[in-house]
Amino acid sequence: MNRENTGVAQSQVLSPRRSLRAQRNHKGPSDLCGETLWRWFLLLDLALLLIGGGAKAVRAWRWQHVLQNDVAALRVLLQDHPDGSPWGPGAMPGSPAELLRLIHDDLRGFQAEFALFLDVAPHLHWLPRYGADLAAAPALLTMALELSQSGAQVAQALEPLLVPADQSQPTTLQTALILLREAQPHLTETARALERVQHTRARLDKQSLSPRLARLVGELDHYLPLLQRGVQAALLLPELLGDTEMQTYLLLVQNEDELRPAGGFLTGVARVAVREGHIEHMYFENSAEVTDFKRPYPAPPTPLLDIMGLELWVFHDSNWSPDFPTSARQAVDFYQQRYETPVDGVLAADQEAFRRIVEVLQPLKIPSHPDPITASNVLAALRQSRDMPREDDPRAAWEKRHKVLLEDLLTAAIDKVQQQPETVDFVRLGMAVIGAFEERHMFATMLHDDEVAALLHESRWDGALYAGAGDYLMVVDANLGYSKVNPYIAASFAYAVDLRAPQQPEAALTLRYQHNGPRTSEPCYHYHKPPMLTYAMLMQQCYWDYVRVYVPEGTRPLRATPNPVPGELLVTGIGRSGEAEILAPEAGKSVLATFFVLPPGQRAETLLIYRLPPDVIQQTEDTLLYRLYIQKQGGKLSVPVQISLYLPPDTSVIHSNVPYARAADSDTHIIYTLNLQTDFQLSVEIAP
Amino acid sequence: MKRDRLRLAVHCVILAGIVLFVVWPLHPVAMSWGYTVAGTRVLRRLQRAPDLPQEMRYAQAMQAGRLFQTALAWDPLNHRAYANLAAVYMVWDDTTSAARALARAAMLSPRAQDADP
Repeated sequence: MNRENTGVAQSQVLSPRRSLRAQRNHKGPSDLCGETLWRWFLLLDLALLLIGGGAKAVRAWRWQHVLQNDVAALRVLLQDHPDGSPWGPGAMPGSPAELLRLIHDDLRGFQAEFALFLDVAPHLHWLPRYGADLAAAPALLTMALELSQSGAQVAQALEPLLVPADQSQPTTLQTALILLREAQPHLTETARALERVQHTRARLDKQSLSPRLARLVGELDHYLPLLQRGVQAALLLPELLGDTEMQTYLLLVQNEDELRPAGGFLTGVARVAVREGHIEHMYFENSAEVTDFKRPYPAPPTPLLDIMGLELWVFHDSNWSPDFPTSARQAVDFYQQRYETPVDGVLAADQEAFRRIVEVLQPLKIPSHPDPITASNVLAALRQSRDMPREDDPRAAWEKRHKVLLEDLLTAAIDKVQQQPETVDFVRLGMAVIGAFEERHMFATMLHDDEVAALLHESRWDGALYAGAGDYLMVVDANLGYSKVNPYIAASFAYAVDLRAPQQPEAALTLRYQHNGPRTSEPCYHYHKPPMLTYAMLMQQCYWDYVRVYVPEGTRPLRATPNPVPGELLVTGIGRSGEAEILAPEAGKSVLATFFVLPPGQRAETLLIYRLPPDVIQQTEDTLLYRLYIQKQGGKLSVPVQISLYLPPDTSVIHSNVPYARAADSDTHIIYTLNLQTDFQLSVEIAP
Repeated sequence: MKRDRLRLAVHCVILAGIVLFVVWPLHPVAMSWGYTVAGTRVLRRLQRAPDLPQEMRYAQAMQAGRLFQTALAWDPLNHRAYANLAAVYMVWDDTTSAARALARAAMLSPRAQDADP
């Protein structure tokens, strides 16, 4: 019996389990060769994995560097400092279109190289630290691709406007109009692309991203609305500039030193006719000149009668509604009582809007002012020109002087744009105008062209009262004091919403006003008979403020601080009890009102508490959605606002579109602090 | 035996996966490198023959330029292709494009990338 046979015999007597183990442990020469081969295969796998993976990691790192450079270059482009280019002075791509194309190519390159990873990335959100960034990568890349592609197309189409190649043949409004007309298909496509970007952005949760990426998304949040407005403006411009037929506009010049509901006291009006980008004529008047007292005028809104003692409602008080289209129609009605001229649209601009435009066009030399007008002296010049007449200065002379400066200023600005376009930075001018619209220093509405009116409404440039769902707040001040005190008034408000009983939400609005004018022992004089005060003196008068608060329809007032005003403080001599009023609903909003008088150097605080209708909160099975829209009144600079939300017990915020702070007193009390420069939208999702 | 076959099959699948998903995606870099080498040869030839007639110079520069552009189409991060492209632009005295290509090459070069912006 040889050894082999013995082995077989032994194995035959072993249990089946042991037999298997024995077979596994027994390695013949061919098995050993196989094992070695497997090992080599494994090593090869590992080596390939290491080489390939390492190379890929290096590539990813290099791409990250390239894309970072692109972002830096884009920042430089947006800030208009070509020499600050990350590629060094002079090495910047020749035009915005080239830069955007280059960025788009880089993004495409990155997308092509990491396509597989980008398919997997959305499922990696569970990874610690950078999981959210990785999951958001495809959405971010899609947005960047959309933005760079459409941006490059528009920049290419408008290149002669953005980068005039030949300074000897400057861009005129007419050539700008032709370019804009030709660029319409690109602009329409860009508007759609921006909408897609907005939708993609809305699905991203910025708070879950790493600080670096969140900062980038924050920048996108800043520039995206501006881009959308810019594209919309470019889409609107051909029509507005009389591309197809002559357009006649009323330009209402508002003085926010005397704040009125739609922006400011109507101090002047210009009728401007535009055809094919050329201003055919402009006729400017003092607002007082528009009223023809031989014609019948209606009775004014009640506060103008009760507080100011006005018996007729005339052109310069026509902007009583904070809903600009309503005010504009009223202004046109009064205007057409005097002039039977067709009006296609109404544009309103306040002094701040003028200051911003002058900042781009400065210096403007005008015959009625000794020094060139610049952004730093335009407000002083306008105020000085409106100094009320002195004894030796008959009213007619004052009105002429006042009219002449405004008219000269408008003429100089238009001349500069039309006659010396080579000296005008149209991009900055466009940004200044867009900024003025965004911050409610300008409004525009069309009376007959529904399509353009709808575009203006969509961009909120028409100043119409917001009609969306949810909670709503607009604080509308009207200076009824025959004075120009508003530059001295610092207003702020605090808005607290109690959501602890979601079926009966309650709101408390605290309005705070500080009169920063020099404190005086003089009593408040509502109306000064001639000789009139100087403009500077008018700025230091008491503040007669009629405040209307626009809230969702169905709101029920609960209580309010009474602000009694004695009869001697009013030109009518009739005192007011100071009870808050409930006015007739306007544009689908309930309106509460109060009135107070604030002497210089003093402060006032008034509180309104009301029950909101339950539909301001959307309730699903296990979440609450609270949305708030705060609309900024035209003519105001930034207004500090604090919003407090008291959440139902044992609930927390699962999503908020704006960062918030938790109050020290309770976990369910959250606070938003902001400066209201434009309309503000809040959306908070709450869940147990 | 059956198990060995299974192991072999699994291994082949893994290997194919690695090659397909990890190694193959790097082939554009190799292609780009190949085109850059070819373009560089043409460029060197051109630079070593200063007495070449202008037309010939332009034709060779054009050929080199196309090769570098193809290299960049394969790999947009190829800084050498950009640097050589700058030299090609210089043959045509297009200093603006040369400066841009050089700036891009400098930005893409691994040395520059060591220092993040």
